[in-house]
Order: sequence, then C-alpha cells, then structure tokens
Amino acid sequence: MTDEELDDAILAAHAVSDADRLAQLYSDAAQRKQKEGDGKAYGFLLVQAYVFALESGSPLANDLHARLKRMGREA
Amino acid sequence: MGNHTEMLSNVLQPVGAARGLPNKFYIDQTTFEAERDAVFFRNWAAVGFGMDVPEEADAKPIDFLGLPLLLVRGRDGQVRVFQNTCRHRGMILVDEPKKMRGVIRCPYHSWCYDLNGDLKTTPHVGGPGQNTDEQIDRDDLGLIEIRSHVWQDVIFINVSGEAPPFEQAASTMLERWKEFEQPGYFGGADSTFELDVKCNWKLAVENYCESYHLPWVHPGLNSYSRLEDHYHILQPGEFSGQGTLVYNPDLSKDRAFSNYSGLSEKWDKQAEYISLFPNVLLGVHRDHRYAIILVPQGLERTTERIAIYYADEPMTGRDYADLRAKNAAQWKEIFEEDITVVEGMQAGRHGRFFDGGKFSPAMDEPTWLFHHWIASQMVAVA
Repeated sequence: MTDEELDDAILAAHAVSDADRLAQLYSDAAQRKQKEGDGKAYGFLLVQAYVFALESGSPLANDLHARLKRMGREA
Repeated sequence: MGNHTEMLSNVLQPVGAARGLPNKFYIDQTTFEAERDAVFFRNWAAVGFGMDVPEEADAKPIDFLGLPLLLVRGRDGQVRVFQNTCRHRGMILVDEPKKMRGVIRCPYHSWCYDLNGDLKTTPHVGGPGQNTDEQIDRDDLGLIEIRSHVWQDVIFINVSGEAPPFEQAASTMLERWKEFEQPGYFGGADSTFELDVKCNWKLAVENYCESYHLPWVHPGLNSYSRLEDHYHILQPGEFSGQGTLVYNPDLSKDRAFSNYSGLSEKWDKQAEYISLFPNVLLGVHRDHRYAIILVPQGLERTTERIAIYYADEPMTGRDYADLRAKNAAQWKEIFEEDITVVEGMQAGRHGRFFDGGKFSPAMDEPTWLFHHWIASQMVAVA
C-alpha cells in the first residue's frame, strides 16, 4: 500500500467509523513515520491508533499504551 | 418559589377540606421547571428499565426532563447512570443506543472514558502526540455519575444526591410487597409497549391510584372486579393506590402462568396497584407484575413505558408466547381506556376558573394523598 493509498484507506475508515480498521491503519502509518525518522508524526499517529484501539476494544491498545508510556506521551 | 407556599395552602389540608393542585401545576412552564427540581431531582425518580441495557457494555442515552443521561451496563453487569456530557467541552458523548466495544469516546476531541466513568485518555491534550498535561488530572475528570438504584428492573435516580437510600425511601412499599421480592423475568418484546399521552405526567398518576373511575372508564373490568371489591392503599410520603380482592386471571382454559413462590394465601385473590411517587406505577399479582414508568416529555405530554415480568423463566419462553401476548393486550386495552380521561383532564386544566377540584373523602383519598405529597415537596424547597 502506498502512502497515498494508506491516506485514502484512513479517510474511508473514518467515513464509516470503523474503529478497528482505524487502529490498524494509524498503527501502520505510525510505523512508516518511525522508519522515516519523523518523531513528531510518529507520536501523533501512535496516539490516533491508541484512541481507536481503545474504542474498538482491540488488543492493540495494551501495546500502544505501553509504547506511548515509555515515550512519556501517556500516563 | 414563595408564591407556591401560599398557592398550595389549600392543597395541604385534610382530604375533606382540600382542593386539588392549581392549574399552574399542569399548564405553566415555570411551575413545571420548579417541580422538576423539587419533585423529580430531590427524590428517587424512575428513568428506565434494566432491560433497556440488557447486556454487558450496552449503553442507552436518554433525556430526562432536559438532563442528558447515559444508562450503561458495565462489564461487571452493574447498571450505572452518567451525565451524558464530556468533561472537556461539554459534548454529548453517546447519541444513540449501542453496545460499547471498548471505551466511550467523545466524538469531538476523543477524550475516552471506560464504562465505570473513569477518564482513560486525553489524546493530544499536552500538544500533538502528547496525552498528558500537568493541569489535566484524570482522576478529577471522570464522568459525572448520577446516584442510581435498580429495583425489580426499574432504574431509579436521585439527581440531588440528598434523598435517603432507596431502601429507606421506599421501605414501606418494600415491606408491603416483601413476598414478591424475588426475581422477576421480563416477558420480552411481546410484554412491553409504550403509550404517548397528551397530558401532564401527574394526571396519569392520579388516575392510576384510584378505583373510583373503574365502573365508568373500564366497564369491562368492572364486570368481574366491582367497585366494592377494591380498597385504598395509602402511605403518606411514599405511595398511594388501590387493591382488588377478586383477582382471577382467565387467559386460557387449560393453561396459566406460574405463581411467585411462597406467597401467602391472601394473594390467591388479591392484586395491588401502587403509584410510587413520583413517577412509577406498579402492579403485583400472584402470577405477574408490571411497572409503568412515566416519562414527562414536557409540560403537557407524557410517555408511559410499560414492562411486564413473570414469576419464572419458562413463562418467558415460546410455550407461553400466546398467553403473554394476551395478557399484554388486556393491559394495553385498559391503559388505553384511561387515555381519554387523562387527556380530558389536561384539557380541562386550561379552564381558568377550575379551582383544583373537590375530593370525595370516601373515594379520592389516594389522589388527594398524591396532591398533598406534591405540594409538600414544593413547599419544602420554598
């Protein structure tokens, strides 16, 4: 999936309030920004992923929370 | 509020001398709002049924007299009532009934609350990608929980937080009906219905708690349950109603609902109907009970929500579906017969020379008691 396709997929998931998919897609987007060394975008996208993982009751939430907490971004 | 004290002095008299509540209590918006605070928010008022949120993580938003509330059944099975308002910017959190898969996420800035009301996260609150801020104390920013109590599947709330515990506030009723204090089984979709009535909520209470009208409004009922077979039930400050000595269900020639277990002999023929102040109408019979929650939809409109419960689980199955449907239809017919009179009394309250009416000391005592209670509540905060 290209970055553009990922953006489109995120918008499509927002349009149907698919929290499960949003958690996964934002998580994927966060990894890309991490690899690019864009720390600001990485942190932002990780938070987005975490919120939708919490909303959907996804097991991703625990891992995302741990990562954010290690980074000093979450309590 | 001071003018209520003077206005209500005639209501706060013994039944023989009293007048009913003045017209303002039925047609004046300012009085309605004062009554909301004095009557509904200071006491235990019913806002819904447990069956509105039947499963874990079910959530249902409701509007109760303008107060946005959220009924939630937690993952521990317990029903809680929250103000349906985000602590951040005051956004409505949930706008339709739904099952929560995880947290309750505010649709505005995504502050997230768990089903116990605890604030779980505050995304980007400290700037992009930063979920914490030293000025944001999550422990102080959980959802506002409204004091609640579930009894026989009816969800009561006390908004002010000042009422005595429910078991104390309703102690006389609980004692009176202690034999029925056993699990009730909701009959399901065929055992619930709603009636939308164009009257102030109080008129539904007033009509329900007296038997005087039965021969005129319910002639079919009166054919086997005569006026003289009924008795008044009076408990100042808590409830009023009436009972019958000749309950005799006749839904089928060869089948009947199970009875509640361990009932004393008197309940073979007796059934009772109580208006638990302010807004719950209850009925108990040896084989079923029901609750009617009166939901004020404004000054001159009320929704009556009826739910029927049975004595054991098999009564809720397919084998009894026909009997349940017949039972619900009979009750619906009776409650619908009352609509004409409560709507007629509402229209009559616009008659500017109506003085609250005159009570029959012999027949209207339950209604008088309710008026007296309303007046007492209003005067107490004056």
